Amino acid sequence: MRRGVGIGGINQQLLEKAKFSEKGSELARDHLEKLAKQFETFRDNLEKFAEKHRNEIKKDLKFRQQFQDMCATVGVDPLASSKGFWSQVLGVGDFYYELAVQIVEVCVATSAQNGGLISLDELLLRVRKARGKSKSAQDVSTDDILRAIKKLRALGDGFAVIEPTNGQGRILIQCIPGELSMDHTAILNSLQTRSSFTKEQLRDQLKWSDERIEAAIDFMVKEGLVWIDNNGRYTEYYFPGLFTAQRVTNGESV
Amino acid sequence: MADRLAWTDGQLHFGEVTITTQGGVSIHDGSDKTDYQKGFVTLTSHRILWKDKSAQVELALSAIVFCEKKDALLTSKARLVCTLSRGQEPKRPGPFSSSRYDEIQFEFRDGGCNDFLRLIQEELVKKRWLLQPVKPSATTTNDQLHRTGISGIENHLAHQLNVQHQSISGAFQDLNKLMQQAKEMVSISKTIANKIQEKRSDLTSDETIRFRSYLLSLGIDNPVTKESAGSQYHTSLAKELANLLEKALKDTNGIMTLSDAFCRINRARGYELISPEDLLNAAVHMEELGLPVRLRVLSSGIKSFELTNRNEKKDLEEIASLVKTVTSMSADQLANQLGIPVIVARERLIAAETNSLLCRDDSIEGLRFYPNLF
Repeated sequence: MRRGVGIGGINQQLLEKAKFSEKGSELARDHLEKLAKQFETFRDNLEKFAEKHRNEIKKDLKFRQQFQDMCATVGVDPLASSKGFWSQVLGVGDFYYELAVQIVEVCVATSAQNGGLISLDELLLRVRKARGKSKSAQDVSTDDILRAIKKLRALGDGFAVIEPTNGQGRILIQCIPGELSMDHTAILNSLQTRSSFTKEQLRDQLKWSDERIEAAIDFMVKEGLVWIDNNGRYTEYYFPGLFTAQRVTNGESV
Repeated sequence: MADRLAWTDGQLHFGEVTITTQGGVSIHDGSDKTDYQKGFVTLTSHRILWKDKSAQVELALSAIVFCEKKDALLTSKARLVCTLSRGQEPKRPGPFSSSRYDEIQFEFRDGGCNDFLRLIQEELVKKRWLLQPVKPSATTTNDQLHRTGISGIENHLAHQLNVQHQSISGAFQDLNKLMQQAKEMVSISKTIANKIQEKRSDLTSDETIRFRSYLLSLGIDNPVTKESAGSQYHTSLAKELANLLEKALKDTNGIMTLSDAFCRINRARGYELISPEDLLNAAVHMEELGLPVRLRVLSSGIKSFELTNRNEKKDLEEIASLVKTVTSMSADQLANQLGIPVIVARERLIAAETNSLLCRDDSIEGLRFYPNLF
């Protein structure tokens, strides 16, 4: 039958349209069946993989990082749910969720002193301490911590990662909600090897107006992030969080 | 540390394989320029080889401690920075007799730095040069004398490390295969999800539920899962958690932040811990399930759990009268008093203020609240 001519043509078109939408659903169902089959195969393969390599993930930092990077490239999140495959079969979940709990506990314990600002290195040190002395307890990297923190953000409790400018320098973790503006982070990032500053230093380094400097300092003092030392010739302001960070960098214990 | 470079004839050794090659690469001793500009660099399982019209040099991968990328600047293209170890092997003849630096930089003038970095890092993990100690084909007599003496020990160490590293490189290969499969499933899922979104699919609701459970299992993030009415897992989790939390909330004055809850719940479980997202997904459904505990988002954006039968007004009045007894209070004082976190205390005080029960006094000494006498 020729297409598009007369009533017969219209009927034909309608018929084809109906077939098309039918085909559309058929395709989705087909896809689903295909997915189901692949899923089963995948589950078997994952279980075999887990039998062989489960320990590697727990113990080997680099392997774990590679694993996470590959998941990200492929588009799966092994930590999304403890009901997920990865968690159940490989046990990756428990590793990271336990780490998340330890991170929260360290942050709560230290926030009274540092106002909720802690360096990644200090956090790592304290978490390792909390995990105990066995070697496997020590096999935690900064990458692991950053991933656990990423997941913790779902809880909305104000975890933020403050990266240094230009990618060089200390990474800080903020664990108390409260917006740190770009000015505040600029001050933090200017203190790579120090934990304190004076208004004069800021003026020289950042070339800001006095009002701008004072506004930033006032906010941070109020929030408990910065302490004032006015015993010296110049009033010094310092971040307790960075003070301990410095000690950690120098290899002292905390 | 360009003194670690050695002359070579470029011949592959027994068991060595070529990984990749890149042209337009210049060698820098630390950050100093050298005469070795714009040559071809080849990564093998054992060495980095570099050559141009006039010379050919090699760098053993075993000498590399780690590699990283230095981003391009105005004056230079992206560089691969390799930090080298001082090394106990005798120095083999090479273009430099000494160097002040601990690193060698390879400048990738024609690009290719990222790929090279990735591949070299893989090789540094695999450490294939340990599987068979490589005997260079052309060596001086000095070298040979050294190697026969130490090689016995080297072999033994290599064997030990070999066992460990083989298992890891085997793991990588298995992991790669797994990821390929996962990738396929991700792409099929996208197709299905698209069809659902464009309403071009006639999947039954049962089939859609099955599909969502696949997404959940694989950890695929997808708008379809977000609109879900709550998988069965999260609904039953919600009920289980509500029970636990109801008891805990009685001790914390009826309100608890989500991260506090997360810690308590997982500490109590000990194993088969739940993820933060699981907690959130369970929490959002609590109210509609009529559970005694519900999710509450405080004004500062903090998410917390509270007892459903909490009376907000009564609660705030209690706080206001508490403040009155001590004339004024700050958030930490209230936190101490009630045994709640500072951020929650602050939010409570602000809420009381919004309801005209308290006034604030904001100074550099902090935020304090007073009873509202106006």
